[in-house]
Amino acid sequence: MTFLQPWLLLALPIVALPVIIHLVNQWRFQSVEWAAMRFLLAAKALSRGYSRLRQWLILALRMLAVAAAVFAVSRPLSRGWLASLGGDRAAAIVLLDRSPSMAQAAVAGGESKLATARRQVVSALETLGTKRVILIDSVTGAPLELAAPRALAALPETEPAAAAADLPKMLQAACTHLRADSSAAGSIWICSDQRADDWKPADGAWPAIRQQIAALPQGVRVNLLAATDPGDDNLAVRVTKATLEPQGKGWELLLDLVLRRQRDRGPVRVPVSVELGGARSTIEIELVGTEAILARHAIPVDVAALAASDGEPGNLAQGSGWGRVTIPADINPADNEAYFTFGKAPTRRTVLVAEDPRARGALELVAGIPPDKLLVAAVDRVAPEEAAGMALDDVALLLWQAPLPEGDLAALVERFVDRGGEVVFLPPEVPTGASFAGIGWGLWSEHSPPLQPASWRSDEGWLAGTLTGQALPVGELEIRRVCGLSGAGTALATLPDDRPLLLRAARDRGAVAFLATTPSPRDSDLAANGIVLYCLVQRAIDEGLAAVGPARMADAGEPAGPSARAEARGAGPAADGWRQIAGPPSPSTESGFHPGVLASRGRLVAINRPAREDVSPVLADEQIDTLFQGLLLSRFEQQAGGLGNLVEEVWRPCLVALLLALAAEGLLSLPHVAPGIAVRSAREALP
Amino acid sequence: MLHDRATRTFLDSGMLSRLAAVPLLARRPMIGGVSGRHTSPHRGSSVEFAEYRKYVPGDDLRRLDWRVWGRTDRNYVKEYEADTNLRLCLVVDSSGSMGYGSTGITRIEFARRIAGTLAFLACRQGDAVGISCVAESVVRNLPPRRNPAHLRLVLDALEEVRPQGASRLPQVLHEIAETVRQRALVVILSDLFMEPEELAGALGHLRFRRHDVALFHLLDPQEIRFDFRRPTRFLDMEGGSPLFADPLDISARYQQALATWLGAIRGIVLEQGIDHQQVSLDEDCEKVLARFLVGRATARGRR
Repeated sequence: MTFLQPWLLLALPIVALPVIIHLVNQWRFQSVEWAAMRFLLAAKALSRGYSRLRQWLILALRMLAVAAAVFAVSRPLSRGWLASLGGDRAAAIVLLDRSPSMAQAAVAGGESKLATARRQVVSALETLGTKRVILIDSVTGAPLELAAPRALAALPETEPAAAAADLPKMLQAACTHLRADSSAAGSIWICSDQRADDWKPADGAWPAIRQQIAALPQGVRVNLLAATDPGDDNLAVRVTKATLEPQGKGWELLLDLVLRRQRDRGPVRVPVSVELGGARSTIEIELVGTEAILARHAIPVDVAALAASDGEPGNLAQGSGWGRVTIPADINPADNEAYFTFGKAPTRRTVLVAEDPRARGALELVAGIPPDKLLVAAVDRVAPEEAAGMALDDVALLLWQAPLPEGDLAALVERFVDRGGEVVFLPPEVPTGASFAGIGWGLWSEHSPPLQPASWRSDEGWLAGTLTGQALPVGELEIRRVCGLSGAGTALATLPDDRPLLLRAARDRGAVAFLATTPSPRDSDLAANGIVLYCLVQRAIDEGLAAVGPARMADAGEPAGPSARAEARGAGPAADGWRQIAGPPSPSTESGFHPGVLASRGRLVAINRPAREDVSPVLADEQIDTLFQGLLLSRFEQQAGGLGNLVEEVWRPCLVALLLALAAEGLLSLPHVAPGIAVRSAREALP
Repeated sequence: MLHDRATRTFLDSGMLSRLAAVPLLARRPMIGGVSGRHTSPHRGSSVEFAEYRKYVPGDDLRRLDWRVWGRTDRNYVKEYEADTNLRLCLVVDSSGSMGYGSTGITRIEFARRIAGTLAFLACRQGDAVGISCVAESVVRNLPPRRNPAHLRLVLDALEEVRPQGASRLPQVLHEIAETVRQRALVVILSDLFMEPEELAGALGHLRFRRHDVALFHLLDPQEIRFDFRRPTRFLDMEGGSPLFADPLDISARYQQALATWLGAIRGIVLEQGIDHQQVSLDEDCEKVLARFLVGRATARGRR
């Protein structure tokens, strides 16, 4: 048991006071000469058992009363597992999962899981007398010291966000803080709903986190406030795609929607409101099972009126806009709305810098053929020696088959990548010692018979299979000449001798990839077997267009979001020019982590919760135990809106015990008169 | 009659003079040696008519009722009650427990007052008085005598008796029952702290010997109320082991044991027809004796 004022327990020896008084009373006995000994002997014989028991009971009750009084003034706490917190009142680290699933309440309009966890943590820390609180929330991920626990309830950094949490990253931040500040708390409080998407149990960082926490000198205890109730009456809406297509003389918006619920409760018609340019329309969607998809729902759009209504002048020229989809309120308000942006498809522009004419021809061909007739593709051929003057403002992809850029040219390409552009380097005829993003070209090697790729990433990335699950024929490629690569990166395809065929450098934004051969017939049959090369190039263009197009939709908190890019440049969002034009108010420092629409210089970004938030399962307790194996973990299940507190003072039961003990002692101490011997005078007692 | 009156602290002359008006009478016929105030089982020469009896040869012709002969021509002898003196045997328990007293007077002192007063009253009306002081055995024994000089010995014995030792009253009562040859008034003064069954046997023996038994049961108020408050070490006045007890713990059981014991004593005296006087030491001795004497006077006449 834990006590808030344990020094008062030093008074516990006074529990023996009743015994001492009893003994003193026994010692100061009187001696009396007595004649009627026979009655005394009979009385002693009659009452030996009961009297002894009663005497001991009275003594025990008196001791209990004193002990209860001492305990009451020592302010005991209800939670035994918080015993170790007695000495850790100086500070505590609170990891707050602000993911959208934490906005779920027990009933519609009730207190959310996040608010409940916040309240309970504040109550617990205040009860424990914690003086310093270090907050690490899932959005910023950085330690923030609070003056008092109550500040947790008032900070905007503790409100729900749209971004998923990254518990391993938060725990690592906590470990780093604890290592740096050895006087900091020995307890970490985690408020989360145990979603697999937030906890990432397969993350390779977990063993390191366990080791770091175990190695901390202050002996850290992890207290997990788990709100795992998934709720069974929640409906979520999401816009998967919003495209603007010409229809006759005007334009129409084509919306793809997904409605999803936790459990099948029979067919139901869900009214979905679509808000577009201030105008609201409602679509009735019949939901059968757990998921309903509405594909290519057409809404006529007056582009000019739209641009005027949202007050973003840049949109008028770009022909883009935004909208919002909402469903009726339920237990989780965070997934009841989705924002979308749309705009005319931009030109799929590629800059091709190639020194080999045969490779250049193949590359120009695959980059210049758009995947849809409504799309426009353009390829700008630039000679290597003229590359310094190339314009990359609206370019999605840079194909570079020449010696790696150096100096100003390298800086130009670097800025292009930082903006979100994609670069694919192909080996020059004569490799130089230069490198880009830490990777450089080696020597050419010829292979006869030709090599065929041994493995490649077919689940994601540029070489992923089709939507129907068919794999690209990467293994059928014949590679006759391979240029070596030096440096570290992620191999998307490898040759039989484990040399990378396609290597991707790690970047926060944009992509830099190295293909170890060229489409020249002398080097490979990438041109002849053009499927792989075409998919690779078009997918790279698609990714590059995301940073070029006037409107796009992004997951909250994703690395490619506006805030992340601003951070990468070392400037705030204001310097980046992004401002929120739709969505609930949120701190400007977290603009990429809350649902809404951001606008900057004529471009729009719709921020929504990640799609995996809607389907992420809850981790079982055993999995959590495995993640914290070997550490001091206390898990406390809480319910959204639950009124209980984690830690409560239990002095009231002590007072009740005191009163009961005194009452029982009084009853036992009442003088007992035998029936019929109510003596008033000696004479009356005689026959 | 009393030459050294000043030394008899247990005698109160005022009380003696007031009680002298009430005779000490036996409830049963006594067989005395001389004429007295007590009924005798034999016919005698008193003025109180008893019965007519047929004349038999040898009867004194002076006792023949000539009027009856004249009316019926039959010879009847007219008989009268005989009045005789009694033997008062005082049995004083002198065991250690008789030394207890919480009201300023000990039990033995109260017994001295009662016994001395009764001895004086009996002697004054011409009855024989004897005394037996008993503890573990007969400490002092004076057989009943009628002369006033004997009263002085009795009073001396009362004055000299000291409470000590254990009590073997039942056994001594058996001895008295055997040694007192003729009917007597046996007055027992004791606290009766003994087994009721043994007491019942001794009293039954006395009754069997046709003695008139009076029992002064002396109890101290503290022994009845038992209102001690502090833990107390009780020292046995009859030499037994001391006992330590918290009176608050055992008070109820004590009262229960006392009530049971008193009930048993009451049952014995009712069954045996004993003149039982339950006395609390805080009572006035004169009232106790007056109650005793008056009660006996009203019960006179049974033979």
